[in-house]
Amino acid sequence: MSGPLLRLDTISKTYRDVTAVHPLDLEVGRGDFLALLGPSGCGKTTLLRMIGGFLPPTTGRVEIEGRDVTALGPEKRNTNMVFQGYGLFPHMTVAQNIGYGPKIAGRDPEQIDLDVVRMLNLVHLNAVADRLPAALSGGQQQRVALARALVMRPAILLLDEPLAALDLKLRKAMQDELKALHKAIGGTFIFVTHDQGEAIDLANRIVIMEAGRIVQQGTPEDVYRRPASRFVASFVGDANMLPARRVGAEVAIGGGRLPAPGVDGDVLVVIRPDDVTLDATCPIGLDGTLAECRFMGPYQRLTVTLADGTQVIVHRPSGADAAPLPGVGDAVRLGLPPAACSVVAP
Amino acid sequence: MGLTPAFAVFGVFFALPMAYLLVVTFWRIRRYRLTPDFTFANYQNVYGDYLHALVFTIVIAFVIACITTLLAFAIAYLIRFRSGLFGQVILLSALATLFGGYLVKIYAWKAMLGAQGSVNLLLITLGLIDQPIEWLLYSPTAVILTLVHFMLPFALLPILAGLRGISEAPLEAARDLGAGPWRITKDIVLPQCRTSLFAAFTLSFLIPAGDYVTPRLVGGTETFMVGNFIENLFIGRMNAPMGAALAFSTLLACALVLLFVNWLLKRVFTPKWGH
Ligand SMILES: Nc1ncnc2c1ncn2[C@@H]1O[C@H](COP(=O)(O)OP(=O)(O)O)[C@@H](O)[C@H]1O
Ligand SMILES: [Mg+2]
Repeated sequence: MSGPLLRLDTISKTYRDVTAVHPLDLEVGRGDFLALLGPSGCGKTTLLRMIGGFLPPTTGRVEIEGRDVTALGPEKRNTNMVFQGYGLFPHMTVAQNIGYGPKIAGRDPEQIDLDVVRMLNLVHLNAVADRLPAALSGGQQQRVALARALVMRPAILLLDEPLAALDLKLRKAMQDELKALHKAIGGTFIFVTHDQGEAIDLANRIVIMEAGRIVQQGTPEDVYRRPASRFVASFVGDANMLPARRVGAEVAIGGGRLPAPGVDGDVLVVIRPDDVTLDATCPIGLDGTLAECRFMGPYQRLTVTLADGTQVIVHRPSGADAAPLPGVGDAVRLGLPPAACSVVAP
Repeated sequence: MGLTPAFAVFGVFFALPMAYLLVVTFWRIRRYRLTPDFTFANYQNVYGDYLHALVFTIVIAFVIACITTLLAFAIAYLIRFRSGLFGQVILLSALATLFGGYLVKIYAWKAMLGAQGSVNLLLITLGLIDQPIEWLLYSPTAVILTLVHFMLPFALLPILAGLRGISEAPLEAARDLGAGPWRITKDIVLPQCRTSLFAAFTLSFLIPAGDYVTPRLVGGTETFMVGNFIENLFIGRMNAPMGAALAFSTLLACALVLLFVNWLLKRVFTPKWGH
């Protein structure tokens, strides 16, 4: 079928006097693994719940597979949700939790058993099929919630902060598992997260939200390398932001020029710490003194103070072949590869 | 350690008197005096003379408990899930009836159910009946109505607490999986408030089963519950051993009914499919 799998058309949500989501458009293609990324309170959950049918939008339309589903509740949409607290049925075993949806759908009992076993295999829970949710670890509960939604073969799987409740190690493992699952079943996943690392690792498309609006969307690489605003630059990864001026669609910095269409005025030049080099031949060079050098394991983190007092963070690989470092207090010349610089409004 | 005072109070004011009463059931009255003995005659007499009253009482209390628990669940469900702020109003009006007092309620029902009572007047005014319904007052129906009304707030509170303890996410998940309101209530809500349903049932079963004031005031000349006979045995006939034997038989019957109800609830609300 042509056209996007999910289309949001000027969708918005206002609670009494708080506008949680301002009118926005969004299209999600089949097979996408989309992250809704933003700080707490920016309206991610609200948007996800409108897609799932739990919240009627104040304005706009929701289309799934070309069909207008705005007026339909979650029970009538081809979407399933993995809830933030999982929302498992505490009085049902793992197998019954997973089998509940198919049972409601009226699949025949033998088919349900097959489906449940298939899902148990998929999320590696065969050994605990007859346990109640309370007797499971957080990671296992998370997988039950996933299996319970996936068994319905939803056109879109919605996940609200799926990994937020897990500890760091488990989170990494579940991240891999989610990725493998998405690949194995080839579905469309939309997940909400406030963790930019998680979004970059999992998603093939990231939608960044700020205060109820979409401020940028694109591949993880796009939003990381080409932040469209100061907010995105600081929210996704670490960023150096150097004040500069735009004159005649160009920004002059460190002896070089960056093309930057836009009106004249103050701007910020954004560059990631891992893109800054100590290469003196770079067309854009900034002079400063090395203020601090910290060993971070896989990389070294240098802090360089420029003449105007601005501090620039530089990450250098700490491998054996890394070039020898200047000492603290020495003068250094930083190289800014023009392709790695973005210009944003201050 | 911390519970020692509680156990002491429980022992002195509950367990000891009960134990004494249990011992008395095996004694007998000889020349108008309570005499220690070890006889089952009291139980035999109870079985012979009062079985009908016992069965009748258990049945009436069971009916009252069923109606009360169902109504209380319906009201608690409305308060918890359907009525938003209005729910507080419903709750307050249900609890306000607690201030009425027991006897006041009985007399209120007496006034409402009589031949000239407001219920009959209303039915006649509406043209639904020509003659007042005689059996409204002084009948088992009156006892049931009065006690259901009396027990309702007591049953409402535990059920409401149970419903408040159910979190939103499983309900939304069930909806997400395609379940309608009725399925959600049956599959997700009821099983999760099973213990509070049982608590409500127990209260609204035990208190009516032991009541002897309501049947006397609104039950008429035919409706005697086992409490009336126990009272009569202790006070009217001064036969403490038989009174105690009847009381213990009632206790046992009640315990059996409650065990059965608990078993039934467990059976009905434990999902068994899919193994
Ligand atoms: N039921 C509600 N009533 C009123 N305001 C709400 C409600 N739910 C969310 N909000 C507000 O809407 C905004 C967005 O909330 P939410 O979508 O939960 O954010 P996020 O998931 O990004 O943390 C917040 O400011 C929040 O306070
Ligand atoms: Mg949220």
